[in-house]
Amino acid sequence: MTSPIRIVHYVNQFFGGIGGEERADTELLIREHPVGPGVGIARALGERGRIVATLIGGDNYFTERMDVARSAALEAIERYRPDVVIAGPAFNAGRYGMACGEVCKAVTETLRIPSVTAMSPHNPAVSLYRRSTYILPTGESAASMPHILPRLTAFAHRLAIGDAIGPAEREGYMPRGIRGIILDERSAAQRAAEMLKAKLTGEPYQTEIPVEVFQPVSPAAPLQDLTTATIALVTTSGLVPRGNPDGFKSMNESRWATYPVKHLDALAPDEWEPIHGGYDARFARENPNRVVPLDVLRELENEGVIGRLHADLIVTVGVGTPVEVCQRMGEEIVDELHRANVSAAIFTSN
Amino acid sequence: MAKVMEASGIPVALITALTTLAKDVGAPRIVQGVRIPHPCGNPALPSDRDRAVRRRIVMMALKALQTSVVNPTSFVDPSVLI
Repeated sequence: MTSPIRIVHYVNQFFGGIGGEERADTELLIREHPVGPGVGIARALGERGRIVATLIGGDNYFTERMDVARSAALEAIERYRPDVVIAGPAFNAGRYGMACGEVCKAVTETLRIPSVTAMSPHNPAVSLYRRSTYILPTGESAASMPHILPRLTAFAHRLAIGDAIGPAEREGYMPRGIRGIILDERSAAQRAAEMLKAKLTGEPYQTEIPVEVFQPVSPAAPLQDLTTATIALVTTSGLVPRGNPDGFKSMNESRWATYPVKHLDALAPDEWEPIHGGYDARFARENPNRVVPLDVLRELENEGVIGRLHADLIVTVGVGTPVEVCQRMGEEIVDELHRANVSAAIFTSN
Repeated sequence: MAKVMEASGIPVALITALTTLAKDVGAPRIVQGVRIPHPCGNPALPSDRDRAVRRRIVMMALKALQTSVVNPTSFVDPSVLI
């Protein structure tokens, strides 16, 4: 019977019960007991261990001041001497996923303490951190909390007691791109032939060499003459005309729209509203030009610095949108821009 | 989406506070924004200075559009950072 394990758990301001987007600046707080999802983890753990501390960090604090936040987290974690660190689950929250990844990476690489986190496979943090820690897959939203908590707890316990963790496809964590050596009785020629046969007959097969998701692109040639260029404003901030006439969703939106701005010198606060579930909308509400800089671009057009500002603003909502959907929207927007002979785009993102 | 547009021949200046993330997913021209809820402004400043910050960021975006790049490249005006 191993002695009870010590866990430090990292959560964000929302799951830590501090507040929503308006508290995303919260600097690192420490509670010496389970908080939020930690309560579920403690329950699943039972006598086998306890959460000795919960670290709560604001999503903006952590991602915008990462060096400061990482040091603060490391210093706190070191004091509590945990056997394992758990972060999240972050589901599809991008900043929270990054913070979880960063905490786990720092703790594992610097303090040599094993770590595990959990998030949606579509979370942008996955590609950045999957090699540095263990990431378990979740659904897109907190609806998958009951599914992930027992798995996260069990995995963390195994890490804490020094249990050997096998390959990703068997253990259920996201592949880390680490090649372990596995003995297979079949030769490469046999395996390749079997794979080809399966592929040709429509049977399932497993590639031995998966290709990276984020493919590089050849950048476009730069603008030669700004004074004759037509520049389009594109945004994923979800800034739409007051009343949201096209009924955009605040997350996981798969459509985009154009809104005429030719007649406007600036975006007025009573005519536009931000529909986007992933950032504190206060500042965009007060002055929409802070997310879509139309006022300045119109000024530059009037001064002759740029040739022309494209007549329409192109808008979508950039939160919880899978890569394939972004790809398709990008292609459709390109058709629109090519048709209008737009030379370049300024793209604002939150 | 910015990558798809670049691949089609339209240079794109991506203004974002999270430049590290943008670099890691491979956006070619990345312009440092102020903060997530207000990438093109600083609400702590009086409105004329907020506007001046916005103009500096847009000018940096225009510079990015006129710059030849091969790999993901950041364009930063340190004076706009909080």
